[in-house]
Amino acid sequence: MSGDAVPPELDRKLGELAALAAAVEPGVMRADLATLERRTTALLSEEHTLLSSLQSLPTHWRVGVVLTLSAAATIGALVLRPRADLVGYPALRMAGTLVLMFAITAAASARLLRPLHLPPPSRALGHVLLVAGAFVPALLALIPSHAGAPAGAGAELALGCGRCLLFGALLALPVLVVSFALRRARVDGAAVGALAGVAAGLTGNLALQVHCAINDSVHLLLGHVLLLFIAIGAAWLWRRHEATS
Amino acid sequence: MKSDEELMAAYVNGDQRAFAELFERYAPMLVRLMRRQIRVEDDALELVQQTFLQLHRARLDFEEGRKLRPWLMTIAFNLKREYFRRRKRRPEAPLEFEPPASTRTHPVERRADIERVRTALDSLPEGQREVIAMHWFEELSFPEVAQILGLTVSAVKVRAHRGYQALRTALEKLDTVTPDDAQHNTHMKAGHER
Repeated sequence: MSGDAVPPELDRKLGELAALAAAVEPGVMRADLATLERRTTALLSEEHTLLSSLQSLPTHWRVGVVLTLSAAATIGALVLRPRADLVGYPALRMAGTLVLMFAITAAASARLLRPLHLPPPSRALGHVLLVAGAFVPALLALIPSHAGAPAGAGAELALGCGRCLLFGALLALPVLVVSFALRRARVDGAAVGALAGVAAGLTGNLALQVHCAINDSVHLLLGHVLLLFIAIGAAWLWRRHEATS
Repeated sequence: MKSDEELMAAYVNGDQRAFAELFERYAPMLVRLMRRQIRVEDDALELVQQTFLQLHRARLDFEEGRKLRPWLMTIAFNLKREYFRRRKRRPEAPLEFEPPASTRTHPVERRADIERVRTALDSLPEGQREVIAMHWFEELSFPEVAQILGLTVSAVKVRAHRGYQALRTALEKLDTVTPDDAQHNTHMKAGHER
């Protein structure tokens, strides 16, 4: 091709290169292609497992699976173990918190499961989502609210935080596992991999938001927000293990 | 003859022969594309294999009305980027490079020419090299290149223009150096990078 942008001398040199490449490649290609086709066919013949079927779902379905799990965890907690002060909790704050956390979960899942046939987004997007996912719940926890159930102090505080961490972790774990499983390839760096932790940690926080009646900031930071950092750390380690294995 | 898009639609509907046809049409281009920058032969072929695996996994994402070629090329380029990211450095490793068997039978000066242009291409920034590889060698249009890289057509044209200018300069510099000097310099560079 000799596009307008190509200087004539360079065009000639590139033309020579293309001619050389054409001269040397056909013999190699035939042998290589036969091998390559055999290997590719063998690889595709393994694509009949449940996992590969899930990975082959359209992207909006894959993201939908993660969000359905997240919503199911929140609705389940709301229906089965609602917070004691649900009626008295400011409706606007509750709605705003849930919508914001769910929106970040959706964005994190969409970035994590972004298909390879789309051009790569800005690298900053992954970092922005990571920071937003980690710190938005922390900021929300610091905004004063009405007095809920007492957080206690010392061992009582630790016990309450531990219970919330365990409750949230149980609901976050399936989201973490499914988020990683639905990826079609082990691509993207640690920051994007950590978004699985954001989705999982926020799922735990969504469930805790409708379950736990303690509004004390210390409890919220140690019992709820800490879960996010643990989930992000677990996802980061998982991704790192993948990259080195 | 069926278009690429018709073949892809047939494959989505379960026609395995359509995949074989697509493989036949695109594998040579993808092998060339990977080999141009990845000098470890097995790695280049592995990436082509992975490209077709990703085509298979993403087949239900292929929307009617889209062109297959830029769609597939985007997959290939994303996989190649990931490969380089994992290696944490650019792929130039002349000491490890084993030329394909058939090139070894070509006269020494022809191989030296190929190496000279390769060296010049390798010296370009990745963004410019990608655009030149797609526009010149794979004969993709600027709008197609823009779609693959997620850039505007104007941005791609600017990169191409700068890339071609830089390539010309690099080739002129190499032309003033003897092949032995060039090889020595390349080896020194490889040693330095390590």
